[in-house]
Amino acid sequence: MIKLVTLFLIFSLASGGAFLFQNNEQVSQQPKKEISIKAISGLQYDVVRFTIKPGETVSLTLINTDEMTHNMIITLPNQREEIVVLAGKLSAQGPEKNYIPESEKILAAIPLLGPGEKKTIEFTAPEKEGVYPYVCTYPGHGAVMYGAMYVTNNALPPLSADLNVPPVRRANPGNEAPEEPAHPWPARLPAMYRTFMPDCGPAGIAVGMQGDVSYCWDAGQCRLRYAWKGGFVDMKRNWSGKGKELADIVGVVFYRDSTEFPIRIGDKNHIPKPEFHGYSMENRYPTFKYSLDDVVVTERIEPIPEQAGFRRTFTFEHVTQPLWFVWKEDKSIDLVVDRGNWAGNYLKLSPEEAREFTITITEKTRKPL
Amino acid sequence: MIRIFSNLSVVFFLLITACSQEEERLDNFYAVEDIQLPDGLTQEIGGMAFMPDGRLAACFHRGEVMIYDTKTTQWSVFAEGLHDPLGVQAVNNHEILVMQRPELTRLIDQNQDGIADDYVTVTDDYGMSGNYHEFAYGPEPDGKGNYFIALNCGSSGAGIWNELRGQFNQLGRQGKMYSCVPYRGWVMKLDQEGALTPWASGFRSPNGLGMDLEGNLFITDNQGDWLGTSKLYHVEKGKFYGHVSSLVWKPGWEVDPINLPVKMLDSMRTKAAVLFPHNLMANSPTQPLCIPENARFGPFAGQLLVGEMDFPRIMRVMLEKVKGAYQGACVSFLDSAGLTIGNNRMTFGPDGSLWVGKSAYVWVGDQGIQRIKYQGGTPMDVLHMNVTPTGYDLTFTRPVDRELANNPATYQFERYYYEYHMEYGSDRFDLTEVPVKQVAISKDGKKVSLTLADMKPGYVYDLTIQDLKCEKGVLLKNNHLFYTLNNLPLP
Repeated sequence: MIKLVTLFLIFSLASGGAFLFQNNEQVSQQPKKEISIKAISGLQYDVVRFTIKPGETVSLTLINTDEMTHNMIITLPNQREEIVVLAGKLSAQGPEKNYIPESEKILAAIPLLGPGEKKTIEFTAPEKEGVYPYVCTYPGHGAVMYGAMYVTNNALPPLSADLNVPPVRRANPGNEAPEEPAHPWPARLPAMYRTFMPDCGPAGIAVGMQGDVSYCWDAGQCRLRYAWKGGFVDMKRNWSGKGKELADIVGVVFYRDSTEFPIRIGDKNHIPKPEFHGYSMENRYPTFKYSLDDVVVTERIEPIPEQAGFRRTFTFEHVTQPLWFVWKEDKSIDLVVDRGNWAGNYLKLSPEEAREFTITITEKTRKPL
Repeated sequence: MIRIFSNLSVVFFLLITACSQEEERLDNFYAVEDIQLPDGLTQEIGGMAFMPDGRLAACFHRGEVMIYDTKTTQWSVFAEGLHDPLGVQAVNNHEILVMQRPELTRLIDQNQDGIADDYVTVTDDYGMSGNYHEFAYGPEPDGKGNYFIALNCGSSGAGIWNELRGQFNQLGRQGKMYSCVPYRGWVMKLDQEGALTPWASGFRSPNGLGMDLEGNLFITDNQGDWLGTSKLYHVEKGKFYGHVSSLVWKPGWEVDPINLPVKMLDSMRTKAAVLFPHNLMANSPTQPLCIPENARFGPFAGQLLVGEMDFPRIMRVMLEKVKGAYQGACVSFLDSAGLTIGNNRMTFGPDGSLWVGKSAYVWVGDQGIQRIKYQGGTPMDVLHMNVTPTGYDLTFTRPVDRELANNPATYQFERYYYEYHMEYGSDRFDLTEVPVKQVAISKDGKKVSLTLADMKPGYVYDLTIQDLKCEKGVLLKNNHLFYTLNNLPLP
């Protein structure tokens, strides 16, 4: 039986065609090359190229870690685009055929896998050296979701120059290519993003100020959450996905508001109900506007030159009761206020004082021992 | 006399020229061109709208709102830093409404220097769980001063955050797409006082709102759980459209909707006006846009165009009211012919051209803006598909070739239905060919009345018109039509 299979293999190779053994036990007695590839978010395979030797037995596993359906077809050299077109023509029959068209130009194929599914196939590499593309032929995926199986005894070309892998994957970590601009204007501070922020509610705001001090403001709760120094945010992960990922803070957090809520009106134990009204931009810095129990508040946060810190200017319109600003002792922070009187951890401001006051928060500079 | 003769000959010459120009155009009525966008801009478009002065406002994936001056072809920045903006409306030349993930925002350029100064929160009265799939769509004006917005469900592709905005409801947390914070899966109405109220429920991923010329609201939804295939709904107050998670926000609702009998849920829902068969017509329909009466965009005024993400296609929808409810057919309006995929947003320009904004969001799609210009003349197309008690009337834009049109084999019908169930998508069930028994052609050659062997409500009637030409020999290219037969008219 083995002889027969071998003969058949020789015959098929001699006839110029590559031959596929799908799930064939008999050829698995030879040592085989195991390749595992994941379908990942963003219409990509995590592995965009791999090498096998001519005639080598390959055990290829596809694991679908994406939330969409994917397959994988390995084609003969230069046939990727044609197979994608053929798969597209299956139209209504596509799903039942796993978007695998009938073609002699297909070397091997893994059918449609739903999210979380995996499948292993085994096949023998062609004797003929070459670049054998693999591609997902689910409608719309084929143009971007592909890679290359190199059947060769030689080394591969540099990834950055490999036209057989998708353009987005040609980036070479050693290559000092200038970073692409994030927007159609040069990077500049101050800057502001409404985005998903760590340690914040889902309606987050990141503001980067001149001097590389940045802060996170929560438009859901209407409060400053934390501040950091040394940079702004890296939006790459958030922008390159479906918006699932958080913005990455660049720098070190030096201040967090860990109170339940920092402002009280009248009763210092009552947490006021916040409502966000938006913001006005002046010199590219926002002045937030919100209400706390129907009292309209504005808050503007500006940097302090040469220091890890910032100044918050508040206005409270038509407030008739005393205002309380709650502070939780923080040994690494200096707090300076320009109005009011402290009663323990509560700064009390009269309605008159509450009309406009500032709170300056700076990181304590370490004193020499 | 000589003078008259010469005048006549000029007219005659002009007529010939006009005809020959039309002949040349017989296959090319719509030209597609690419719009140049600035370097450094990630060209994924969330919304587009023309301002009264003719400039285009567009919002982009990375939070920019940019203005395009069509005369100078220059782009300028109007606003920045928004969170996944997916819709814009121009209020006037200095004010834009933009729908972003956390809120509807009014951008106001107070000092009229071309850059928004005020970002005013119009409404954020809905929940956010932190799930990435909770996109927000709209705002669609109703022409009476109110706006509609639509709220996507969350996705089991990710969890929810510890910190939420809005009240958490465990009953809505079940399922593949879920509604665990208020009004996910709902269409909301914003009135002139700024109050946001729930309007209709049962949506999964309603990435597309549009009004027709009579002020009816139409919304698309994407194939998935509870949607056997993608759909177009005629959305009315208080109705439920089928995706069940949103039901938990109905006042007094206390059960897990997923565990209710499907028959009961089925009886509660309002069926879609049009189904877009998956893989055949659309995999991910987007915005419906009505062609205005004075659009200079060909013979389809008053009908809806619908964008499509996965195919290089814009669809056209032909609606009619049968037994009091809208139903009808979809067909390709434009397929390929220079059009790319990712057709997420559309708007008509002041000159009558159609602007198409692309998007992908790491799904299937593209980038950029394309502009579709009508070149004049009458394309050979099906203008109307109307149901009769015994079949369908097809009205063509041009008289048909009588010999071809008279052959019943020209019209290949099959019918099938999609299952309403919790599973993702649906096969086509009870797929049956339906022979055409009789063909009648109107005197003017534009209307073909087909009598079918069987008409069964609850099915999609899938019609391929094979090799039909107009009397001038132009082939009907958009020849695959899908009629959603909810109701059969009385004889």
